[in-house]
Amino acid sequence: MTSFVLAAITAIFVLAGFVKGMIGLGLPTVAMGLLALVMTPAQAAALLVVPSFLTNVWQAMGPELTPLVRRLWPMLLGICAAACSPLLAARAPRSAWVPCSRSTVCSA
Amino acid sequence: MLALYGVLGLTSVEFSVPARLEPWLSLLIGVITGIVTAATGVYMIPSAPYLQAIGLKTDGLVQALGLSFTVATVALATTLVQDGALQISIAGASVAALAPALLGPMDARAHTLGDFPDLLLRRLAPARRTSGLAWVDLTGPITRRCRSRDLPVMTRRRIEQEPGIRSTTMHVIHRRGWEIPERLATSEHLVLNRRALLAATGAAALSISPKIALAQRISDLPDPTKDLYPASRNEKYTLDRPVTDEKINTSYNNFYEFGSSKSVASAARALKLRPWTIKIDGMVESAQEIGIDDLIRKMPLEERLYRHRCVEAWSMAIPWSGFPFARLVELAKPLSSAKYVRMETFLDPSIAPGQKQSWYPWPYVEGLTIAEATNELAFLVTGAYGKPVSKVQGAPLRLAVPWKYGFKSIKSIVRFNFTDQRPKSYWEALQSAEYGFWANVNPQVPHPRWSQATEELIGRNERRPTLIFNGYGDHVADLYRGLENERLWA
Repeated sequence: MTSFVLAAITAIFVLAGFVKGMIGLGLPTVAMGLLALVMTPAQAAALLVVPSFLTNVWQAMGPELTPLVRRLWPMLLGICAAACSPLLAARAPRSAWVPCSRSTVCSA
Repeated sequence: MLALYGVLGLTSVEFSVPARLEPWLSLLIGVITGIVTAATGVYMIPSAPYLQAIGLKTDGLVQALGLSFTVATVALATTLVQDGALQISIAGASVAALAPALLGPMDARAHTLGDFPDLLLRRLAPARRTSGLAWVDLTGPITRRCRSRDLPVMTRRRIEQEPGIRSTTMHVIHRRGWEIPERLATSEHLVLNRRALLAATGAAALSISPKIALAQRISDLPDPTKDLYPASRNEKYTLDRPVTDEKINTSYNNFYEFGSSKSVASAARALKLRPWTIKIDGMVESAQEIGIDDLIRKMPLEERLYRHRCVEAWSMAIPWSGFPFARLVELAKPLSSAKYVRMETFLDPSIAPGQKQSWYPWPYVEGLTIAEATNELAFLVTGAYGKPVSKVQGAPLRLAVPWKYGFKSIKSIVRFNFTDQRPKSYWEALQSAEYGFWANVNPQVPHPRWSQATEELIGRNERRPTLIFNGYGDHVADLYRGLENERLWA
């Protein structure tokens, strides 16, 4: 990993984190789009997992957590079931990354 | 997918979800989100628009997004591991990437907390939508000046962005909030919220049923105690700031029974104020039920100017009318074994849609020690601004304990229960890590998620340092001697 790539990654995550901090979403959307410029999308996705996870855990903490879980558990269950389902094993994330990242700027 | 989301955002399409369908729709949305997540790695479609459609308050929406993203991230990581895409070396780098990612949000949150997240999320929240253009405006540098989470300043901020009346608003910004001419205040509200008003009117027209109409007619009868107002002012209680404009005060309220936004005034109109019976029971000489009008006429009404400090770091100043809580305790004649008084808000999900949300611990409950309730500051409110108190402010009977955070001042009370057990309040039941029994105002003790050092004066575009006991220490500090081991401040 060159120092240019390291600097780019750092800058991308600062920017993406800033967006996330302002509007509550957008870290992976921003980071995915920009990271894909310097690495393969699959690498970018893997790089995103920990920051994305921890910033979201942090964001999920608060007074409404219990009522929200009680209210939204069917959705959370649905996400887990569908995303991890072996029926979807044939998914092809690699080809789908590129159109995703192109439209990133609109939603961020 | 993201383009679709962008289009949705820009076209101001508004969705809402009937409560009865919500669990099933939640499941469906979850499954679709899961499939999209697995296929594309993008996990906000369709969950994010859905969460915006189910009527969450800003804070709740942010949290719900975090929650759903957390679950989706775990699911995504699982699929990546299955695929072998999550290699150990990259995962290590992923941890390293955390530092800059956290730097971003921490920086943004710390410096603009209360402006940006709220501002943009209001844009995201369907009820707040104006036009696609407004979003662009809101991100402009002009918004940086305003530091508030509140509706009145939001409204003013929008005016700034209306080129036609920009010159007028320059004055508004520099004047005190309560000096806004009546004429201007009205036009702001009507003009700038016309879309919301139209939507609300439409929704109301659709939801009219004979039952609601009847309730409306009954509650529109003149208040039977109207002749008692304005009550004479007790000059002992003075303010260090102007009284908050009544219009602002009655359009920015937390009243979760009627919805989790701040704009619950129209929903609260469904509240039926008569007949209204107050039950006094528990450890008392004899339990009793008393009609609100009989109770009010038995009591010596007076007006007091009180500050009101919300736990959300904003404040107002209100001319309450009512009577000392101590008079009600005298009427109740508690036994010497009673240590606390537990209060309950009405429970009627047929008029209060929030109470249909079973994930909240209804009814709203609050409690005080008998010593607190008989302190001269503890005030039972029946009126405000020289007339019977409005529904959205907790008619026909609410509490005002100004040295405590606002959530202690329970609204629309139907029951006083005297007990030797410390009551568990609504917010304590919901989140005891953040909201406790005592909840006395203290600028030195931050809320777990924000500072309590200063407060936004609603309607005045001004922040001030918060005072210990909200400035009422002379009256109440003695109540807490010997209780230093208790969690007195949050």
